[in-house]
Amino acid sequence: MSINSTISIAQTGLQANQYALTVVSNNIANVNTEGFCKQRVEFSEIGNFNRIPTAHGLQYTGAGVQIEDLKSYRNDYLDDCYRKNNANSEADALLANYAGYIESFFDSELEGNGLSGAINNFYDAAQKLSSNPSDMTMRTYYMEQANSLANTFNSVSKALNSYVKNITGDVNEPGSITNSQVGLTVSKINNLLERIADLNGSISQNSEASALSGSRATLMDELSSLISYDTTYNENGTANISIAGQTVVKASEQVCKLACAEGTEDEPCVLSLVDMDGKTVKGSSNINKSVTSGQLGAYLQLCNGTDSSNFSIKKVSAKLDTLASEFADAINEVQTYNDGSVAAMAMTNNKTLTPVGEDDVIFMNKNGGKDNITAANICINSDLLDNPRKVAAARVPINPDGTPVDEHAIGDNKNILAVIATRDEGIPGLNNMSPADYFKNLVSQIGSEVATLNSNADISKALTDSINAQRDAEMGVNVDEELINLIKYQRAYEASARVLSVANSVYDTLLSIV
Amino acid sequence: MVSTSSTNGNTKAIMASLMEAQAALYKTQQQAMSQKNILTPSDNPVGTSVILGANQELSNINSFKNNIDYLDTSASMLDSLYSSVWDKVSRINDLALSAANGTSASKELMQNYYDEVQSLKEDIVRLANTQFNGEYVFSGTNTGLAPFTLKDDGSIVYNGTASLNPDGSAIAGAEEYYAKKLEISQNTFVSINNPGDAVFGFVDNSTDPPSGTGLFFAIDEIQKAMDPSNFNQEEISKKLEGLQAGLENITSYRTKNGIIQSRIASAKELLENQELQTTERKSDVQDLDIVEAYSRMTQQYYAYQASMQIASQSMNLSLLNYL
Repeated sequence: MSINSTISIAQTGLQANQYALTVVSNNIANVNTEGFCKQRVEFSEIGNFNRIPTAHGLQYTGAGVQIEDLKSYRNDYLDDCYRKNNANSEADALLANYAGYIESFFDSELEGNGLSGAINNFYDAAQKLSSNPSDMTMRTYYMEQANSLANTFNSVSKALNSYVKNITGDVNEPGSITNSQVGLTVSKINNLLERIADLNGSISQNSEASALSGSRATLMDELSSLISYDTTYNENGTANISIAGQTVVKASEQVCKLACAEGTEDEPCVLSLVDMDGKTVKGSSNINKSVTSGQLGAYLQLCNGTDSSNFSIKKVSAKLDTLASEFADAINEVQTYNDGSVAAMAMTNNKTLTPVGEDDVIFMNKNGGKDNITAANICINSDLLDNPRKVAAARVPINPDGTPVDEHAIGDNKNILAVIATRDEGIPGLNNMSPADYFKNLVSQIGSEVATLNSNADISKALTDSINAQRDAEMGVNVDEELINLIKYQRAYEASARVLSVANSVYDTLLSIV
Repeated sequence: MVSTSSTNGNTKAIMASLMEAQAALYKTQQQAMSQKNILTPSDNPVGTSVILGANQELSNINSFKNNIDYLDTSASMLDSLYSSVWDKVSRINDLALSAANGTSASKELMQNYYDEVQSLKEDIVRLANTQFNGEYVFSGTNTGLAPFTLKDDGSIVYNGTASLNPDGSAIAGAEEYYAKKLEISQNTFVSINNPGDAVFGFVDNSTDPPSGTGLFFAIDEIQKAMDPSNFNQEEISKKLEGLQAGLENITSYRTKNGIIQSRIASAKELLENQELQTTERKSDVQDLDIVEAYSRMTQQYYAYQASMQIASQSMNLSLLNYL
């Protein structure tokens, strides 16, 4: 046992605590760094024993302190849990957001405007026409209301479709998917996968690099917002990532990447996996069904027209199409009614009745036909607006050649009464509901779906938040805790310094004797 | 559970609860400002359905009320029209009576009587050709044609939708063709126009003997009997019966019109009741209970304030203050 060993012990104390202070200050500096995981030094005694002579012979004490380990608090299990839940809650949040946008198109319905208002106004115009069936003003008003109804269908449908186009691009325009939300998300995902593979490469050479795995964790968190995936960790600290059951990142190598292409109206985009040469991976030519969470999953659901159980913009727009087509058909059928004994009649310029032309329908599609009417293409027959005499208000007995028995009966309103009757009549194509009821049902259904999506989003966010809080509590930095450690290590440093000065004065004492 | 928490996580949690309190307050503020409980369908999907249903009902009620107003004006117009016709026919009746009973009927006086009947007849034809809203009211559905044409030979031809055969008998099911029905409440229709031939009759002087039916035929026959060149007191007395029948017919149509008027009035009352109820039902769902909303807002305001206070205190809380 010598004074020298005391000095060297004090030196290890100074050094170890100085390192500890470095770690603490790094923790404090990174208090707001996303994905940062706090570190702790773990001290251990240096086992180079110093001999201490005692009454019972020689006994041993340690030779100072050393840093045994730099402990990282990263928890792969919580990371995994968080990412799985995050994928769900990101999907739910995005669905709720979009559903909210879609719902807002129907807010004005509550004020008596919008499509339900337009339907009501159309029937009101029919009622007005029924009191003055030969009046040109009433006929024009009737056609104008029909026009405004068609326009309302168009504008709601256009708004819905613009959302779909924004998400998936236009199925009829190859390449448009690239700049759509889906396209951008796919390229974001591929970029993340590439960076994760790169970081895996660096980590495999330096597996203890805490900063590297921190960056990788941040990227993987980010990836989980976009798509759900599975992770396995290798011995050397690298991570493998698989999407839809297919390994896409194998340690430092990116095996394949995500690709998207335009599909059909009902499935407007198709996701697939391609290898780095661009060849489709076997069995992964359409992985849409496996992508159910993350923002990408939500985008797919919003534009999917085939699944009837979940909210989708396509579904809303398909229902509007059905409504537009069935409503137009019902009104057109009345307008051109002819059962061989009575028939719908238009007026001539001479205030007499004349049979309605087969093509003198009220509603058409924008290409001019009377079939395949949708909410997007419904329009009125402008010929009837220019020439409202062609509106069939009368329904009178006809001769075998189709001409009216009494061509002067322009005051007859039975055909317009038949139009009014469609107001309450169930239409088979609308589940035996009247047009107004069908639409009322649609709006209320959207409302309850949005309410469900909102509460889903709240629940999954709360779940993700609580897991994140747990994860945060384990690996996040608490400034107060670090401050206490800071003082602890500072005091230890001071104490070691004092030991040094004591050892020094012991030397002085010895030297002064000499 | 959570033994320690990270400073960053703490801040996030404080921020989240602040945002939550703020969002709740904001929602109530929006409701209070719009005075509406339901701002968007998801606020209350069932209520949304009630509101849309009520909107449709109110729009229908509005249409029905328009129809009723139309019917109402048209019925009052008809009432005064029938009354004028009645006056004029009574005058003809009086003239015929004097002619039939006059002991010292001079030829000049007879000519005066005859001329007055002629002008009264023309008046009645003019009344029968009345238009309402651009439509002839006695033409059945031939609303573009004046129902009666008075010819030089005294014939009065009916041009409207026929409800009688040439011999004066009723055509079965004719109402289907001459009536114009309007909806005055859900699936309840009122038919307004009457066929002129059934109300006024017609005269055909081109046949021998002249044929016809109804009021116009009676007037024509009386007028012929009062012709000073062909004066026949006995004939006049005989034809007075027909005139009476015509007069009664007008009265009966006037009564029918009165029944429609009272039916319309009660329908209108019902509709107004229904409108009130529907508006109330809608308002129950849609309109904000302002007292409840205000107290909720106050509550949320304090909750938000409390969150802010707690946030500012707990964010200030740091060991740094004590080192």
